[in-house]
Formats: sequence, C-alpha cells, structure tokens
Amino acid sequence: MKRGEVVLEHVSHAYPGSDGAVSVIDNLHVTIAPGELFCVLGPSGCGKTTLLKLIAGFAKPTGGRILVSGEKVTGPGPERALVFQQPQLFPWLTVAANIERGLRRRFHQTAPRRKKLVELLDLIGLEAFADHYPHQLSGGMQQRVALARALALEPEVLLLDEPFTALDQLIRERLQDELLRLNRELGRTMLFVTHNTQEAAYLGNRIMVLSQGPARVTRLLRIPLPHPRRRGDEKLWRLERELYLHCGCCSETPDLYLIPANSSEGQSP
Amino acid sequence: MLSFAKRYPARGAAALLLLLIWYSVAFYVRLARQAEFPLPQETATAFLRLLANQDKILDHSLYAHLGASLERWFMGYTAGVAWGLGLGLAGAMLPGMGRTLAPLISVIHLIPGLAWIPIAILLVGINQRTAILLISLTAMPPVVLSLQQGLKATPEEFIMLSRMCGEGPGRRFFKVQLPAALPHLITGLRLALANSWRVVVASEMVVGTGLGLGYTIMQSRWTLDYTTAFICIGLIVVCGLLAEHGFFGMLEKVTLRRWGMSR
Repeated sequence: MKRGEVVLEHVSHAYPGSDGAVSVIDNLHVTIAPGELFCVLGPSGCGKTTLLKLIAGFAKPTGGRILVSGEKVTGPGPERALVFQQPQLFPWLTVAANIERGLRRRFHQTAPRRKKLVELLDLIGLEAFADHYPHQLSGGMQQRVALARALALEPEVLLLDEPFTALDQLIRERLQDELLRLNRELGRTMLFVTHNTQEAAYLGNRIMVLSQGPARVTRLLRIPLPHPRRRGDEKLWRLERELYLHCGCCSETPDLYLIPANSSEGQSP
Repeated sequence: MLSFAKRYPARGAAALLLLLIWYSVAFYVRLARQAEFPLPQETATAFLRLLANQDKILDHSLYAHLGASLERWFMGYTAGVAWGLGLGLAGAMLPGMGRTLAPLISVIHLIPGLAWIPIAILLVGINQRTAILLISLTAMPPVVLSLQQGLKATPEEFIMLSRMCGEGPGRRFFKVQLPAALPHLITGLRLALANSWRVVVASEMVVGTGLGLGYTIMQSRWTLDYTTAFICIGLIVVCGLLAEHGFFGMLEKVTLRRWGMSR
C-alpha cells in the first residue's frame, strides 16, 4: 500500500436522531492518491467537516471503512493532522511552544527538536515571531502557525477544514499559494474542504462535489489545468462557473467543459 | 478598560461625591437626632493617631486588630481554596464523583456564610477555628464551581489537537484543560476572596474573640466610639480593594492579559 493514500470505501455516516438515524454522509467511495491536493466542495452543513472527523479518527463511520496508507483508521493519530477553520492555537503558549507541541512525540531530545522547530518556523516565514503569543499575531499568521503545528506531526495526510475561510481575501490568496508550495515541496497528501468554488478551482488536482446533506458525490472532477494556475485566467474563471453550477444550487445545466475523472469511481451504483 | 484620562477624573468625582454624602448625612443626624455623627476630618485625625499608635482600641493597637482579621482571612481563604481545588480536581478525574458533588456544592454555595454558625459552633465551639471554618466554607464553592465550568468550556478542538499529538489523558488534563480553564478559575478565586473577606468581618461580629476589625465595629455599640468603627469600615474597604486590584490585578497581568485570554 502506498504511503499517503486515502481510500474511502462506501463510507456512510449517520447520527442517532429523535426519529431514527439522520444520515450525514451517504456512500462515499473514492481513492485519493499520495501527494494529491484533493478538494471537497459542498454547501455549508453538508457533512464535509464530519467527513474530515471520520478520516481523522474522531468518529467511526456507521458504514464502510477508511484506509490511510493501507491501514484502517481506528482512532486519532499524528499521521492524519487536522487543521481547523479557526487557528485554535493554545493562547497560553508562544508560537514556538505551540509548534513544539506537535514535535514532542517524535523528538524526545531538545537539540533535534529545536532544529526541526527552526525549520518549520522558516517554512512558514515566522522566525521573528517565535516568542510572540498567538493574540499578538494577525489571523493569517495564526493560521500559518496552525499549519506548522500540523506539519510538525509529519502527517501522511493533512486534513484542512476550510482553513482560510475566516481570513480576508488578500491573505487568503497568499495562504493558498503557500499551501500549493507546501504541497509541492513536502509532497504530502492534502484533503482540502471548502465551500468556495474559486478556492477549489484554484487549488485542486481533483474536486469532489458533494450535495446538500446527506453528503453524496454529485461530481468527481479532474481539473485539467496544471499548477501554477493564474488567478483571473479565463479557463479558471469558466471552471469556477461550472463548479458553481455543479454544486446544484442553481437550475442552469452545466456545459460539459470539465472532464470527469473516473465516472465509475465517483458514485457507486 | 477605561483609559487613564477618563479613569482618574471619574475617580476624583466619585471621592468628592462620597464626601458630599458623608457630610450631608452627618449634618442631618447632628441636627435631627442630636447624635455625634463622626465627620470626615475627625475620622481622619483619629485614624492618624491610631496609625501612630497613640490611641488604642479595646486595649489593642489598630495593627493588632487589622492583623487578626487578615490572619483569619488568609487562613480561611487558603483552606477554602485548597479543598476547593482538591474537590474540583477529584471531580474532574472521577466524573461520577464530580456529578455527585456538583449539586452538594451548589447547595453549599447558596448558604450565606453566617448561616453556618450553629453548625460551626457545634463542630468546633466558639474560638479562632469557628471563624476560619466559616470563611473556608464560603471560599470553597466558587472555586469548585468555576473550575468545573472552566474545564467544561475547554474548546473541543483543543482536546482533538491533544489527541492528535498523541498526548495521554494526564498530560492532556494538566497541559490543555487546566490552562484553558484558567480564566474561569481566576474569576472563581476572585469571587471566593471577596466573599470570604465579607465573612471574616461578619463572623467576628458574631463569634467575637476580642480582636479584629469586625469585632471592633460591633463593640462600638457599647463603647459609642463610632469614629473608630468608621475607620475600621474604611480599612475593610481598602483591604478588599488591595486584594482585588493588587493581587488579582498582578496575577491577571502575568497570565490572562499576557496571553490575551481575558474575557
């Protein structure tokens, strides 16, 4: 089995409700390749966050199974690091100490841990802020620290739950570019959840479009544009438009500009 | 928080208002009831004489009374906080115990400090320990309740992060949940301090043992030394303010405000 591969096998999830189980995720069946930047696009409240929690191991799917690097997910672990919409840094720890929390597991000795810490600070460009407390940083800087803390775990898969949604547009675009750079440099699998069509079109190698809850795959699309993509490019713009139509919030029929990645894979019969 | 430019004039105005009320009440009482209501300047002079140890109150110096009250407060508060923290931590580690204790603590919290007097007297008689028992009983509930509340309010994401980092329950409790609960806990400690200070003074009025600011105030009924009573009331206020702003102000400065956690 390949390191960093994520396999969802007919994954379903339901919560117990007052009148029977409430289905949140319905039969997701997809394989995410190692190193891929895989976007999950869907309207708010469609079960995207639940999907990430299942992969992270904080809940067990009620149907099907999830394999990461060939192993069945049974609980949370550092090989599947989750980044939240809000940075969620520990406010009582400095930037350096926050990142070190992620390093402690693999580096028991201080000297190598420090070395790795400096590398990570350098990677996110915040060396000068190592001794600052989170509240002294801007939202974008905080989210970078959160990314570094997740990367400190050396995860095989990085699970990103709308990490840039709370940021203003200029910062969001910069962090999107940084994420692409990290994906390229570190070669880690990234599962990026968003409700923003623009973001999905700009980032994704493939995009899985989910329907309003329970989450079903309505489309699984491969984006035919190579990275780096140019913002404002006409093809990208058309892609966004089609993604918007594919989301099913609109009654127009999408033109078939996008090439289905693998029609049999997206939705099992 | 108010800016300095706004805070100081406001405080000056408040002090002037206080003096105005004091004089009005004093003159009203002197005219209408022909009683010697102490005036601010008389109180100030008497206070200076007490400070210089030229006068005594009930055969003891002002310092002895103040010291006795502060000692009771310190001992009662420390004891209350110690078993408050102990019960709170035990309740957090053993959820069943926490659920059993919670209603009991809430009930104790509702009982005014002085209402414990019969029980305290039955338990330890009338002596120094009575006051300390009363004080610690008032200080304990806010500590337990605030700790429980703070632990419950720990963001779910913090717990998830800790589990992702592979931290065990012990480390998670002390390195994530407890620091996350700190803003609540400090509020609880603060409440406990204010509550217990009130009980110090009140308990001295009832189980008076010859020394203490509360005891002195109560004795002015018989000695008719109202000026001294006024001085003691003033000292009680000053001690409360110093603890509130001095001690907790500093504690918050090195923790919550430094971390941007103030609520």
